[in-house]
Amino acid sequence: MKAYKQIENGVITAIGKSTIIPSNGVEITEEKYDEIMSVIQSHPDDTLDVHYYLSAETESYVGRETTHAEKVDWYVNAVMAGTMTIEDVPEDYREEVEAKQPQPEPAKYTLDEAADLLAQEVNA
Amino acid sequence: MSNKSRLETNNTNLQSILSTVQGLPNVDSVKRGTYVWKKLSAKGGTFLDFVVSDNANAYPDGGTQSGYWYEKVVEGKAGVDVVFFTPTEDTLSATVTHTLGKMPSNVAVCRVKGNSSDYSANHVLCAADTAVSAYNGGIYYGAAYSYSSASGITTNELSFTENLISYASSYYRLEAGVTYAFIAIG
Repeated sequence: MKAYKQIENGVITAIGKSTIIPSNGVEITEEKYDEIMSVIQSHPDDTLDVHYYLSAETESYVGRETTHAEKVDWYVNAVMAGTMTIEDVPEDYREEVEAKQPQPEPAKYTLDEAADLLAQEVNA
Repeated sequence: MSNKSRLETNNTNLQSILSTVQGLPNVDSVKRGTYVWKKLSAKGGTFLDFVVSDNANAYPDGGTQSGYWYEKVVEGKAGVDVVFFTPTEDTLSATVTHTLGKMPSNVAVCRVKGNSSDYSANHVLCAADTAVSAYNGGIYYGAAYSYSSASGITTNELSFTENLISYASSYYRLEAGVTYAFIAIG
């Protein structure tokens, strides 16, 4: 297998191993692959205000200010992960965040129906 | 089926999925070959593994060998290609190049290596052509599961061509620093 890195707009977006190098990939040595992997493993966590990318020039993570769309994504993730509620999201973003929330499957039973079913199970 | 029986069945299914995920190949133990067979405990028995070989006659097609039942997955020229992919940032989409040179019969994306033990939130655990995700009321989990019994079913998040496999999701991310196996079976 050949090791490769993918670069877009000065950012290393991914590394990989495959039989052939993809058209947007650059072949690298195993040593370089391990070296970049080690950097990726210490990827700093993005915050609401800072997004980290892996610079192709320095092969290290660099922070930059997040865009509006990235802030929306950050809030979407926070709400999905339960670390904040939709009510906590600033009003400027709430509508967009709400629109991107997955819709849970409709409940099959009401709470009363579920309670009745469970009671029947217990008594069976 | 009663709720109790359903829960017991779901629990059994989850144990089976866990066992499958824990048994996923790592970089050094990927099987490669032109032909693929399903290995079963017996005719109509439990699925055990896929086996591959460059020899078309290495295993029978619908027959027993060394106590196991084998069925060739596809007739004629076939193959398996695995591409390992590690994103540098969490990403909702990725495309890799496979070498089958034909439309795969099945594709899958599974996380096989990473330093994160957090399979929760919106990080994908494993997706196949029956990719779904489970919703517990607060968190979405990526998982390989069947359409028939999972809750929070999503649409198929994988697509492929004769030389590409693409993953694209609205919610379920490939995690930075985790190595994913993109698998194409011919």
